[in-house]
Amino acid sequence: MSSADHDPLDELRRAWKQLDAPANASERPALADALAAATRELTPAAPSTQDPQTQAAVSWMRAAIAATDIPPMPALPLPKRRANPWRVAALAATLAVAGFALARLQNSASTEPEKPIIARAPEPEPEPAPAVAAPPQGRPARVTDAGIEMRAGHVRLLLVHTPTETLNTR
Amino acid sequence: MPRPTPLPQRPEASPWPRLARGIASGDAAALGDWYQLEWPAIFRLCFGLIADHAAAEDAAQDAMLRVSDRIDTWNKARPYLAWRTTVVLNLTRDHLRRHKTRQYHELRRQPTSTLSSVPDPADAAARGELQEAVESVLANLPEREREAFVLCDLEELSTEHAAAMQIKPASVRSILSLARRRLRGLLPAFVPESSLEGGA
Repeated sequence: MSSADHDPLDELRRAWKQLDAPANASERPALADALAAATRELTPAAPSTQDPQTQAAVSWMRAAIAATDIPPMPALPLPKRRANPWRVAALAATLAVAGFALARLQNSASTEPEKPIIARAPEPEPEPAPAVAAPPQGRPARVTDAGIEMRAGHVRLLLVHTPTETLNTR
Repeated sequence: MPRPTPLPQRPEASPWPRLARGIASGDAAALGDWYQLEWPAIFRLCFGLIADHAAAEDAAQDAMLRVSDRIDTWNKARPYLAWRTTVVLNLTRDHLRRHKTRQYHELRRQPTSTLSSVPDPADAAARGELQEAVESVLANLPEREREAFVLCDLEELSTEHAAAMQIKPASVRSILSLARRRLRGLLPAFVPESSLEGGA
């Protein structure tokens, strides 16, 4: 048997069963006394049976705590208000009537043109579109005295006409 | 040394149901009466359980609010003081857990025998030293033993009612016995023997 399974009370139970029953009634008070003595030993002492030193210590502590300064009482909190059922019923009825009246008002006003509750914010001015340069309109090439001239926007292309022999002489 | 002042007499159990009904129905006068009656007792309870005067004041204010908020949940078949003490005990446990006062106390105070003067519970001039001595003794009790001592010896709850500690009454008795023994050993370290003899 492992030590975990071992119950120390088992031995006591076995020993108890092995005890002979008191042969006569005169033995019983002795057994009762022994049992009472064992119980007293196992049970912590009651306050009345404390030794004088312990009693003095306990009394001193009680007196000392009783003599401790008590701080001033804090401010009282607001008492909890329990809801009165009649008040709750009256409030519910008032709310119901007010809601009904509001609904009627809204229905009667529904024929009028609906006004926005919140004024619309002014729309921002459309910003001008970013300037994109138009593709240059090219002119048709024309033959001038200097050569062939082509113009596109600010660009001017001139193909100079040079005689072949001049080039060769360079 | 003059004899220590006795604990103030507790009010009879009879006002509690009336006050509880008044507070639950929002009666400001009942709430005021209840505060007057309970503030010193709940403060002392918090002081005993937390072992720190300033922290106990904060905890006692919280406890007053919590108990008054929940007073309509009190089962009138149970004793009021046991119910209220359970609420306060749970609150102080939360408080200790939050503020780590236990570690603080363990580091803060070690028993010494160098108290220069005799703290006299009846003497207002010595109250500062007295308070320190009481805090030191309580802080050096383990939390369970402090609870058992405060509930059973200071609050005079029976061990069955002290089962608010969520342990069996027999265990409460054992812990209480340990607490008293430890207290007896601790007190001479903080308080001169002559004071103890006079206080008994």
